[in-house]
Amino acid sequence: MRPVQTLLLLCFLLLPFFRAEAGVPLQLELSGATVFPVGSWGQHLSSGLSASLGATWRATRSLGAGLLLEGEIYSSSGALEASLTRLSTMAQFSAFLRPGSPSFSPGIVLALGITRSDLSSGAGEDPPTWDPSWRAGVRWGFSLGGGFRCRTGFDFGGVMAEGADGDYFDMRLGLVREVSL
Amino acid sequence: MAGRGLLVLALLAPALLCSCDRNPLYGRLGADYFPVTTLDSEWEYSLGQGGSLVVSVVDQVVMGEKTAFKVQTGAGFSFWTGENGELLHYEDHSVIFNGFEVALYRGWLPYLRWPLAVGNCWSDSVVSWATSQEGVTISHDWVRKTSVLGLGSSSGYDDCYHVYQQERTIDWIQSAGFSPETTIVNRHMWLAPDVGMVFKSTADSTLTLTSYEPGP
Repeated sequence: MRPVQTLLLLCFLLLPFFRAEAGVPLQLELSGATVFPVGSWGQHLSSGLSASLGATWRATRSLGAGLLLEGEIYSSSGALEASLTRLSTMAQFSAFLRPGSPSFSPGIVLALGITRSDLSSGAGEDPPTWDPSWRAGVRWGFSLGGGFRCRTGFDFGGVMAEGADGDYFDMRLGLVREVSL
Repeated sequence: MAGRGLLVLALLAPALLCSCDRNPLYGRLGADYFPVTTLDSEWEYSLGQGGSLVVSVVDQVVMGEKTAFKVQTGAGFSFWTGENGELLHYEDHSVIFNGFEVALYRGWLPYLRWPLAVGNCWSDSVVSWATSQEGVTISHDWVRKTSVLGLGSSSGYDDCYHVYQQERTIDWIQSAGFSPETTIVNRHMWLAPDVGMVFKSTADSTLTLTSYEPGP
């Protein structure tokens, strides 16, 4: 298991041990997504998988800002075994209507950050590249009980690379734990 | 307040530390490095030994049960198609024996596999045999090894992949007086994004792209 996968699994396992207490209100979110390349950069790649881990400080009940770590992988759609992996660190901002609603809390998220992209193809590997990236999306949140919430939605985003952008569309499902530190 | 400043600095630090080297990975992923599947595209090369060579996509035909693009190179023709992440070339391997052409292999083989990446390598091979009109068996052992050696500029084009191919052919006319005959062709090509081959060198020729007109 790769280090990133191990970290995500550990964080997921630790989520239930956070207890809601008076203090800094935080939301910890673990999410997964199916990602679809938009544009010609995906001509030799199939849809990808994404996993992210984030911590959001709730400035008010509706507004939040936080940090996000995300990994994505796209595999080859052709005969050759190839993959594009992306690792992003992002600052995320969110706004939700009807926060805390048990059944319907719509919201928007915006994330800005930096992404490392790495292409490997067969035994070869192109030099990795670091580029600014962004993501914007809508969410529908609802309560799962026990301090857990679910957020589902979709995003459009991109890696603002030199020459051509690496835009994508994703469909996301996340598990949120509200805690106070 | 100082804490927020540090947070902003921490967020911006990776961006500020980003390498300024040119590395348009997404541009390379979206480009066609061998665009022979567009009708009426034309490349003109200057030859190292003098003169020029025109290469053009002249027709779309059915070849070997696939829809292929017919490419004219000087007086010769070749056939290309794309399928399943590969650029396929119709290989026509034959020998002349006692004045007659004997076909040893005719079929599609991968020429390039997408996406290209530095350090990638693969090989394709054919082992076949044929019998001449006189009943003599001719065996054919052919291997093409392809390696992507690097990224760089060539003939005024940036982001080119340097591709090296070695084709080794062993033909053996299995009759008295003949021994296996080995031929090795080494080929260095520089492929530019959405242009194709901009430079090629073999033991007996060098081609440099002088003009390119993509098809409509």
